[in-house]
Amino acid sequence: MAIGDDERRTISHMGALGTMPTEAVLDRVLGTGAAGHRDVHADMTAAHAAAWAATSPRLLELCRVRIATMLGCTAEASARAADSGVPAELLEAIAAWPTDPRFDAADRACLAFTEHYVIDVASVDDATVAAVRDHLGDDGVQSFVSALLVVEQRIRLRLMWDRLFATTGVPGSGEG
Amino acid sequence: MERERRVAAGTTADPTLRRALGAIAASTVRLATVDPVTTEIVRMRCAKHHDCGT
Repeated sequence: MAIGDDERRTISHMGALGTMPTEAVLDRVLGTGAAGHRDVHADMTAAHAAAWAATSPRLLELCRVRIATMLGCTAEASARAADSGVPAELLEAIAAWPTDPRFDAADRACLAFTEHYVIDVASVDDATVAAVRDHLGDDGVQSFVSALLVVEQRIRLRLMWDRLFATTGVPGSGEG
Repeated sequence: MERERRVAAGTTADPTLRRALGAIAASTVRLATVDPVTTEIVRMRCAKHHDCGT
């Protein structure tokens, strides 16, 4: 997305995006007014809400935090979804899911799928999909994967914006 | 590479989520600040990277 001079000046005065919740970063970068990309913003926000409504909040929260830790997104890794029902201490132990007995079979199936999905989506094998299907059913697999796409895309976008606007300043602005 | 179906025919994701994903795709394509050739090159590069033949 190309950024005009006016937008560049505005974003360069936002302060450290890295400390903001992702929703606030979306507001700042995409904008909510006519000058921004409010249609994209609105559609992304709607998809995010739909993702959480379409699948188990527990499973999506576990997988969201796993994606954030894999990709090194500190803001998302430390954020907590409201009403997911996942104890904080379980999220803090997310990297230990293969051996930690507090993760149940459905958690493990979805987390295994998520790791394959993040590392190489084209290589996800039949057994990994079947394990998720055993717990969620056919429709549930499709909703889960679609929800996973939404949260993964949001984290990757967040990481890119952090790099562009917070860590190294705004490209071409002479800042940073 | 041909693959067998992994979910039953006729299976769909949650309708609200499916529509929301379609809306993102549509609003993103409507963005006009990146020229169409660059946009298409990026789309094709992503498809190749993810081994997506669609």
